[in-house]
Amino acid sequence: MKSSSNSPFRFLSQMASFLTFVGLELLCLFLIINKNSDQRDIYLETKSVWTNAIGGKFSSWTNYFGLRAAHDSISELNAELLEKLFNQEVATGLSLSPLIDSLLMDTAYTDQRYQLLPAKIVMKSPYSRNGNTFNINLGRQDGVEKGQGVISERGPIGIVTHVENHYSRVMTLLDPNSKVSACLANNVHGSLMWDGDDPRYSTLHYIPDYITHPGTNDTIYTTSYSNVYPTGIPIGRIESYTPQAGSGLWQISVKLFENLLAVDHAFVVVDLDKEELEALNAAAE
Amino acid sequence: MSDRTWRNNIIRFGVLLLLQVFLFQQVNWGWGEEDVLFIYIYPLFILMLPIQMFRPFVIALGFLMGLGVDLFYDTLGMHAAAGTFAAYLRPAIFNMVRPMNGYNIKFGPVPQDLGWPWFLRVLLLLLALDLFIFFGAQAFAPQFIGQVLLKTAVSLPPSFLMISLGVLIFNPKA
Repeated sequence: MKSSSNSPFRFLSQMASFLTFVGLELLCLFLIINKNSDQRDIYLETKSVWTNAIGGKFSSWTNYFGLRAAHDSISELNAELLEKLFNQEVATGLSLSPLIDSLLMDTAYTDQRYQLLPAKIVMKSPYSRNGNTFNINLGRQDGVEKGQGVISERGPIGIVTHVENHYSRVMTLLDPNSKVSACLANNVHGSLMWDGDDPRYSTLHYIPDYITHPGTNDTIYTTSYSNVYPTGIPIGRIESYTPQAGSGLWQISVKLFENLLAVDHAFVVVDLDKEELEALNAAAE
Repeated sequence: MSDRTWRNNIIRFGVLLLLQVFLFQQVNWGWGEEDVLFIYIYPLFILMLPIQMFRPFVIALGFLMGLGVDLFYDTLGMHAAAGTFAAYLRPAIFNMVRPMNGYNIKFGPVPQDLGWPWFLRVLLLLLALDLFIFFGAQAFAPQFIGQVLLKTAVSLPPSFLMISLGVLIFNPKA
């Protein structure tokens, strides 16, 4: 072998050698697999193992992507159903759903007492320590009256203070003038008021310390005593509590479930028995 | 490549094939379930092809030699694969066992031209390679690597001895 390592002929010769080698070895492999039963069995077994392994991986992949597709379609379906639900409620002006109504219904009444009117919050006053109001897209024509409560899925929002034909104004819980009748789980009730400090917190007053002792993280609920909200809507969780000096009362800081600065839709609570209850009050006077 | 070289190699192909399939095919010995000792002399044909021969041609001839053995051994493709492999790597072996002065263009790969030490080393490497590939192709699964190495190790010395003795006795020319 002369030192002709750089010549193109040598390169071509190497390429030709390599291709001949690979081609003949492949031919050998073909012969081995097709003409020898042991090797064919091993080949078929190996092939099936690998095919299954790769096929299994592939099918789990396709399942995964199928999952995503299923999720998308379910999301679309959900949106469609919610849309239908809300549209229907807007169209009929009737309740959100029988389920929620029955949950909110006072057990003492066999008839339906509350109706929920789905509303959109169309305007919010700028956040202020001195009071926060919303405007909602329901008014007198929709059956909204002054003094009705407004709630969301996560808790009470406020009370209707002014009604026009198509719109109403709501004084939210974040208003120094707002008072919500609220109770602990054991039905000891007090009054929830906002002290203007923090929109996430409100304060529960008038819980006597000789009757009950609150616990951190206890849930507090609405009561229907003031004819605004149905009974038992969760409002928030007790963050902290301190005895009010000299009064025998607790001052309970409550973290609200609903973020009142972010909420964008609500339900007006229509109390169907309101007239009757007010007539009773008037008669007593 | 002279006519004489052609003739010698063609005769060598036939003689080695006949010896392989009618004489050495009788040898198969082992102590367990499986025979491990076999004698394969056909790689000598690949070794003794002219050093300057066009490489793809060497590889094709290695394939044909193996295929010829396969036809009688009922191992179609396995010796062919081994012969092809050995023929492909023959130049690399020649390079590894390069004589001090390089390869004279007139020399053939025979002891009388390049000396016994050169010849025996090349034979050992080429034979080991051929046997390993053949037994590997026979086992055809990586988990039998132990068996493949055992067969190679056991079959290599007698094959090596037979080829060396044959070359010593008949003193073939390139």
